[in-house]
Amino acid sequence: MRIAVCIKQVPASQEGRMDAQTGVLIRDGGTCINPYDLYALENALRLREQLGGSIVVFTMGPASAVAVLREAYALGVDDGVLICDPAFRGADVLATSYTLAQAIKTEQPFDLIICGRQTTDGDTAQVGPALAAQLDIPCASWVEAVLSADEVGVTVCQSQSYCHCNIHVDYPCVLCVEQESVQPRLPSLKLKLGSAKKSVRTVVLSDFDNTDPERFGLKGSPTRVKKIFTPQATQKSPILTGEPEELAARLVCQLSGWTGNGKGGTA
Amino acid sequence: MATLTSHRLLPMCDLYEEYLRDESRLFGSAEYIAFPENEGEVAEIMQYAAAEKLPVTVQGSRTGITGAAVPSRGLVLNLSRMNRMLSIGDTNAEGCIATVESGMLCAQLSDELARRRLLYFFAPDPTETSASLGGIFACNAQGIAAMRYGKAGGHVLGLRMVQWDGSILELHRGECVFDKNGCTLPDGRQMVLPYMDYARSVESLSPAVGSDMIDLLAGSEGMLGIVTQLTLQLLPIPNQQWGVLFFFRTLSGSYEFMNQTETLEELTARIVCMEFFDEPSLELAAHQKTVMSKLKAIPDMPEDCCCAVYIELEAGSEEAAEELLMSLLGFFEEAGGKETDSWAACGLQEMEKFRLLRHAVPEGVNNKVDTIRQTRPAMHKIALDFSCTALSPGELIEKYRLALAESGVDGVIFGHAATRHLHVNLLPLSHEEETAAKQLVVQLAGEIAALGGCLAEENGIGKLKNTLLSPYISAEQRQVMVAVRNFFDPEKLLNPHNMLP
Repeated sequence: MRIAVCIKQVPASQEGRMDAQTGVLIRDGGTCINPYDLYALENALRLREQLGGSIVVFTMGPASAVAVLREAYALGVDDGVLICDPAFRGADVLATSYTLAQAIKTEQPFDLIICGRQTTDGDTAQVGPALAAQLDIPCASWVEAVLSADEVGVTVCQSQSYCHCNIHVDYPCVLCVEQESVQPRLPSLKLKLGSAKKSVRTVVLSDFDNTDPERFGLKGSPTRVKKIFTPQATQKSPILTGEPEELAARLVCQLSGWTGNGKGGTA
Repeated sequence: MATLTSHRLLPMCDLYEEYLRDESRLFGSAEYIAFPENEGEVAEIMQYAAAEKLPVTVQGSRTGITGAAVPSRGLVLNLSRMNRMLSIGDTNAEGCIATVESGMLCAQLSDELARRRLLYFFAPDPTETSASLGGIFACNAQGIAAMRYGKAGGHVLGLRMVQWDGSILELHRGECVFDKNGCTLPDGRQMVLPYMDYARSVESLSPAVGSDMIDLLAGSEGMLGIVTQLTLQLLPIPNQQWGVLFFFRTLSGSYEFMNQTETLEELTARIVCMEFFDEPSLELAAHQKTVMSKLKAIPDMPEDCCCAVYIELEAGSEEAAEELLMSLLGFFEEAGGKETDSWAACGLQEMEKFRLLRHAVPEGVNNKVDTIRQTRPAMHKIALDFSCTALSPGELIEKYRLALAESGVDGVIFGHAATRHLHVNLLPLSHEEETAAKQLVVQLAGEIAALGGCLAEENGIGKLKNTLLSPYISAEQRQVMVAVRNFFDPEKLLNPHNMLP
């Protein structure tokens, strides 16, 4: 089995900062591998352990993003591809998924492409499904567990809003996995030491089938980010006081959406 | 009589009950509590306490485990509101200098450094990041890398201290050094001690010729004054930092590995910490994963492992780090280690997971003690803080294992194997076991003392270990300790019952 995993380097801090002019995230602090992507990697590693094959990891970003490929090497993946070109800078979901698809095509065929549910900087949770659309293959999102895999496809448990669905998807396909899907491993010393020595293949715009710059980066991104902000918490936490029986009744009322008779303190 | 603004002293009530205890789980009592916000308020309170002969127990963030911050009566002086960074950024040959109020927490200092993008660190930073810097100084704690950086006091360049009568003492390292006659303070007072050449079984309150007055105040557990400001020496973050957790399926394998590791020469890369965890410690840490969300990112430990050794190293270059790591990997494999039974991290960000796991062990012990206290409220933490360089790590661990097995008391063995400073935390489940645990501590204290070991390394002596240590302190050393205390606190108002029963 050949598996591709898409990973991303993200700011280690949760505080998002944006260039007011371009609407692009400022990335000048500490970085780390997108936490959601660790689950994608772990699922891929387990499938390879079970079925054999190889794993190729793709990351799109500046030259420094090679660090996350080395992290993936330290976990045991076979190959890494850095998708790096000034033309890719400032990409939104559409341009990112198109770029990833173009890069994956340079290494195809793949049976399975695994992505984390979302990134902690963009937070859209749309790149995985968009990538599947660009490649014109099926996608299973919200994957909580990979139940089984064989030569023709994979059976996964999808977490929907109010239910869980076990579905079978034929290869090739994209899986977007949830954080609960598996417990990611930590790198062994041997692999971590070896990760610094492994080669990384860099792909640039000219390596792609389509080299039209209008399809990539800021030029290929119809999305315009006007502002990034942390929403103010508007919900107050009511503190009820009184006798237990009375409190229980009022709690039921409040939970039912009724605000009660105004008795009791709120803070 | 001195006057005091009434709001400074609050009558003790249920609201402040948590301030009657620390992590030792020892409970005390007090009549008042105060939360001064600056040095002037501390001085004002001390003037009042001196006039009223009111005993004062100073507190940082109460993470100590010997009851040093637990009051026995009088006034609790809690410094948690004095947590400001006063200055930072000046540099010297060693690194960067920061002056902080003593109530600042380790985590706050780290955050301040990160926020200002200053690539320095406070080397004795313990894994307990909620410890206050004043508290760390007060018990002269040592961080996880003590074998490299020593104790907290060595990283303090200066301090300001409110004395028992409210007067201020300001000290700078190098200004007051003990000679054979004692020491002269900046205000001209002469400290003359009955002995300067005597056997020291503990370091506290026991200066030696050539030692600095700041080193005497370090580890004095608030008995000599209220330290309000500390000027800290921060060191540059090393170019390469690695943390590796090695799991073993046999104890003998871990002993062999640790012995081999100690044969490594210190070149441009060096090991700065070697910590051992026995099986019960690992089980406790694994349990803590279910209650501490920060540990969620740590996978399950390898099956069938019975102990682990955690090593941190620093190096000036990637090549030097790699050379040392390859040696460790070789030792690990020779000791029967499997490739997948090691976890490696590079850089502080990645190493944080391992430090959290390390800290989960004492946290787990505290939780267990709390559980036991539900049926036996008088139970407090029973822990050894001994070191004994006469034995190899394996010999010391076996000694503790045998003692635990013979006593029939559950316990965990973990901590600083390189400095032979292993923590043994006892978990007696019944009154009889508690008695056996206390006897075990006394027995081991005698054995470690006979081997020339130290009986109080980093946790302090406080109120839980003062009677334990009493038999091992010579008459001469006791006289010196009392003389030091009387010099700074003639009325014996400060942190009474700490150290000297």
